[in-house]
Amino acid sequence: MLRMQGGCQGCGMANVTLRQGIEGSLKRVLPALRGIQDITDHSGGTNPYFSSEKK
Amino acid sequence: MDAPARARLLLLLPTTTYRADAFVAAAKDLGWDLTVASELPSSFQDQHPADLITLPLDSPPAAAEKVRAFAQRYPLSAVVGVDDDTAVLAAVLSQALGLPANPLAAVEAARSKARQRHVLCERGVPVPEFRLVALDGDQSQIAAEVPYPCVLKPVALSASRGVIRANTSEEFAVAHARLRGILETAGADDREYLVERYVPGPEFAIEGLLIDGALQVLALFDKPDPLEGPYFEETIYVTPSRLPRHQQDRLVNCAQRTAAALGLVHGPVHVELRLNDHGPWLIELAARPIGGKCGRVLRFGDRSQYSLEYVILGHATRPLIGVPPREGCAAGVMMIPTPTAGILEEVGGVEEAREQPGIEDVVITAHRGMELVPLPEGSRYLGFIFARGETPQQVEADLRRAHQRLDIRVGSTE
Repeated sequence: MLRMQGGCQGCGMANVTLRQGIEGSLKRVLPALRGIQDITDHSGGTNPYFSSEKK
Repeated sequence: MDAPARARLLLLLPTTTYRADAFVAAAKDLGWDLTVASELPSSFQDQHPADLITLPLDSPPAAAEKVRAFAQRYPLSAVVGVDDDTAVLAAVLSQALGLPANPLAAVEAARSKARQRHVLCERGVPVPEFRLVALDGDQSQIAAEVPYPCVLKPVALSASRGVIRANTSEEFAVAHARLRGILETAGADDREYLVERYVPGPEFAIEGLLIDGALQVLALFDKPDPLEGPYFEETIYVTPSRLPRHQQDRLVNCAQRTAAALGLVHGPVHVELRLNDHGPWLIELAARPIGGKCGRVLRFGDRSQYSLEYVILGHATRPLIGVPPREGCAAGVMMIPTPTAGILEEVGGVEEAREQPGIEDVVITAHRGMELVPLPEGSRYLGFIFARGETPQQVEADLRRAHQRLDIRVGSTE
């Protein structure tokens, strides 16, 4: 389980960072790792790196 | 809908999208290798060069050159955009790589509300009477010539941003000044905007998937809150529609004609229409799925096991597969209205709202300390409420009840 803080908490790209970055890095050193559960309270973030906009 | 192993999908995800979670999860569920492209670099890009790439999303030629080189090393099976802008880029990149895609001219026509209006008008699709006018032109003359009530509409912004109704020439002048400010704030380089005759009548939305040019309807949504202006803030979407079947068929037929007129043949479309005594009116078609986090309201398959994004990606990678039917229950989403301008201090009552019957989730996407800006200037959602139930009436009532439980506290910006 992973809890994000700072600019990752509430960031619109947090899941990309987790799935495409952190998870892959950890699997390289822990091949038996099946996945990571994000337990971050993203709604509690106050200064996310990226905020979503209507597009 | 199992996908072949080890194919690679390039997903175009702007850093400001609401859809990253859903699309990344769907790609993982499909078992595909995934490359996420954004306009800004990820901290992990150097460690995972196959999985993360930075692309100039606003410069298709430069992006195409970079993707061609990338694909030499990591062959790509599909390129998918998630919003209006990346839908165009996806067509460019797919064309460069020889992958299935919509014709570029078709997605470009869909992207520009002005071009879309012209094409549809020429090809006999019922659209509101419109006129493209210069932002810096003689507004008093334009105000004297347009039909009232009318709607001022930017050509490239999304989600009702900048869309304003005017009933008189005086209101037109106020609306024009406001629209000019919105375009400046948005950094839009539009020097023209649309003025349309206001079309009365209830509004509906069709979520669809084009397969070899044929429209597969994924859902037809009622929008039960009247959208009569002066601003057009969307709130509740509920499916299935409560319209009589023959009326639904008229809307679907209009949507199909619209896609064909634009030349779209492939991938998701979100179509907004009105219906009145004269029949259906095409308000807008976008070559992308439904916006915000609203896609979460749709589930497919006999066990509700497929998300909308899964269906879209599954189609992008294996375009001849069938589309599983939507689950049997009614479902709805409320885009939580921004109550007033100011700084968001807190949203209370979220847990209580979640515990209401029929409510599946309440997601607050605005963060504490964020400046809230209502429509027509606003560019962000406050959050979303999701509900499922036996009937559309029940779902609508559940959404309203949950919304009433929210205590949205907004402070002054001073």
